[in-house]
Amino acid sequence: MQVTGTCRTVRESRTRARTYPCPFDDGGTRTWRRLGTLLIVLVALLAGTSLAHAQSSLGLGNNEPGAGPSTFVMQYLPWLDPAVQYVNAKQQQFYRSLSAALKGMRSDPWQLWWLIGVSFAYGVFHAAGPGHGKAVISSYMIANETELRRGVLISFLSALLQGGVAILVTVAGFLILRGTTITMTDASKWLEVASFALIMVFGFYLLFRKARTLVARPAHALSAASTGTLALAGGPDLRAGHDHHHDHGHHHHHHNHDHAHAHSHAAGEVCAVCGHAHAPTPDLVAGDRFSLADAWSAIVTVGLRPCSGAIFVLTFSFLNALYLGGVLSVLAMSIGTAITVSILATLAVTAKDTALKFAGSHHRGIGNAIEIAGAVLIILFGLTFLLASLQM
Amino acid sequence: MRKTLLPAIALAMLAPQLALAHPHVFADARLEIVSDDNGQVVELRNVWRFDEMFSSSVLMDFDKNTNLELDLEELQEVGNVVRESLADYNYYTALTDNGKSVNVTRPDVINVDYKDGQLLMIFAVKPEAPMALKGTLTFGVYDPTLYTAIDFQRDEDMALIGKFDGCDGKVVRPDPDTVIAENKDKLTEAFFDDPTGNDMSKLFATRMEVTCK
Repeated sequence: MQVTGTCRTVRESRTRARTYPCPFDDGGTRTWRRLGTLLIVLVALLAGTSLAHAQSSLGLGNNEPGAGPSTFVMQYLPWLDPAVQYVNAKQQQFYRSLSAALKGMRSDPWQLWWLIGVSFAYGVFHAAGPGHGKAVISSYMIANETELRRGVLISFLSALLQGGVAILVTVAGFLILRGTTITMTDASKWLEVASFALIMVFGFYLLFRKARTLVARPAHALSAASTGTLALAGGPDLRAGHDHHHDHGHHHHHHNHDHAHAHSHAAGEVCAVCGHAHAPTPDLVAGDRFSLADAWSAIVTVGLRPCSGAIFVLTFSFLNALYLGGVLSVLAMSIGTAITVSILATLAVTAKDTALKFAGSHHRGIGNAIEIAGAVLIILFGLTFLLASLQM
Repeated sequence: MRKTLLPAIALAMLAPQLALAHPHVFADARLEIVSDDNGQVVELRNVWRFDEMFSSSVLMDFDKNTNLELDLEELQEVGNVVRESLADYNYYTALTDNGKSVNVTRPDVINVDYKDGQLLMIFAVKPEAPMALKGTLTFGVYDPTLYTAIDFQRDEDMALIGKFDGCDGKVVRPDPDTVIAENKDKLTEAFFDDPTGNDMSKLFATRMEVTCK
C-alpha cells in the first residue's frame, strides 16, 4: 500500500485503496508568482481605500473605525440611503429607550424585562454599523465554502464573545484599572488593535492556503490529485491527529454528503505527512475550506474587539449597582448583533452561490476567484482598520 | 456575469461598512450666536449635555483618585483632552458666510462639569474671519465623523443674542433625501476632493440660517 515518497496512499474503505500522483509536481514557483500578483492587487486596492478615524473626534472613548459619512454611498448607492437613515434613526431610538430602561431600573427592578427586550432590538440595529464583524465573517464565509448553519453559529459565538470581552473590560476597569494610568478606553484600544492585526493575519492564512491548493490542483481537474493536496493544504489542523472533526460542507452542484468517518486507521495506511484523506469525492474538496481551528480563529479575531456601546452601558450599570441588568442587557445586545451578522453572512453566501449558478460550467474558476476575493477582503479590512486604529 | 457579479458582491459587502456609521455619544446642545453693536458675529457659545451612559464611561476613565467623582482637576483634564481633540474637527462648528466656509478659533478653555450623572461642556469659539451681518450666514454644530450626535431638540436651542437688526433667523433641519437630490453633481466633485466626506456632512447638519438685508 505504501507508494513512493511521503504521500499517496489513501484508503477509501476496508477493501479498496487508491494511489494518487504527487500534487506538488509543478513546484513552488507558481505559488509565489500567484501570491506576488495577489499582493500587488492588494496594495492597489488598499491605496484606493480611504482611512477612517479610529480615535473618536471628541477625544473621549473609541470610535468604530470605518465610521464616517460617505458621499461615496450617497453618490453611487443612493438607493441605500433610506435604509441607512432608517437604521440610524431606529438604533438611536432604541439606545434612548435602553438608557431610559436602565435609569428606570434604579427605582423599579421589573424594568429588567423591558431592558432586555430593548437591548436586543438595539443590538439588531446597532450591528448594522461598522465594527461588529459582519464584513469579516461574510468574507470568511465567502472564502470558505462552509455551511450556512455553521456561519450562523460563528456569528453567534463571535457576538457573544464580543459581549463577554466588554464585560471583562468593564470588570477590569472597576476592579483593577481604576486610578491607574490605563483607562478602559486604552484597554479597548489594545484589544481592537490586536483584533485587527489578527484579522489581517487570518486573511493571509486563508489566502495562502487557497493559493497552495490552487497551485497544487489544476483548476478543472477534479482528479485524484485533489485528495493528496487537500490533506496538505489543510494545514496543521488536518494533520494533527486522528481525532479531528470531519465536517464536510455540501458542495455546490453535488449531493449532500454527511457520512461519519468512524473507521480507524492502522499504522502505515495513512502516511504521516499527508495526514488523513478518505476519498476523492467532491465533498472532500470542501475539506480545505473548513476546520474548527479556522472557525475559532474567525470567532476570536472578531470577538476580541469590544463594542464601545456595550462598554458605555456596562459602566453606567456598574456605577449604579445594576450588575445583573448591565450583563443581561449586553448579552441580549450580543444576540441581536448576532442575528444581523448572520443575516448578512447568509446574504453573502447566497450571492456567491447565485454567482456560481450563473457561471455554469466555469464554476470552479469563478468559485476560486470569489474565494480569493473573500480572503483578500479580510486582509484589506484588517490592514485598513489596523492602520486607522494606530493613527492616534 | 463574471464581470458584474464580483464587483457587485464586493460592493454589497463594503457598502454597509461605509454607510452605517453611527453615533455612540449623544449630547443635547444649545448654541448662542452672539453679535456686537457693529453688526459682526463675535462669538458662538456652546453648551453640550452628554447622555448618562457615555458620561459614566468618562467618569471611569478620568477618576484618577478613585472616589467615583470627577473632581476639579479631573474635570479640567477632560476639558483639555476634548479641546485638543476637537481642534482637528473645527470644534464641530460649520459656519458659512454667503456660501464661504469660515473656521473658528481654538477656545481658551472648555469648561466641564458633571451633574446628575451627566457630563456638561461649556465653551465659546470665535469666527477666524470677521462675519458681517450681510447676506446669508449659516451656523451649524455637527460631528463630521458621526461619533457624537449633537442634538438641538427644539428650535429655541439655537438662539441669536445681541443686535441682529434687519436680519431673520430660522432653524433649518435638512431632509437628507432633498440634500442628495439637490447636490448630486457637487457630491461627485466633493467625493474626489475629499473621499472621507467630512466636508459634505455640513449639508446635513441642523443649522441656523440668518438672512440679512
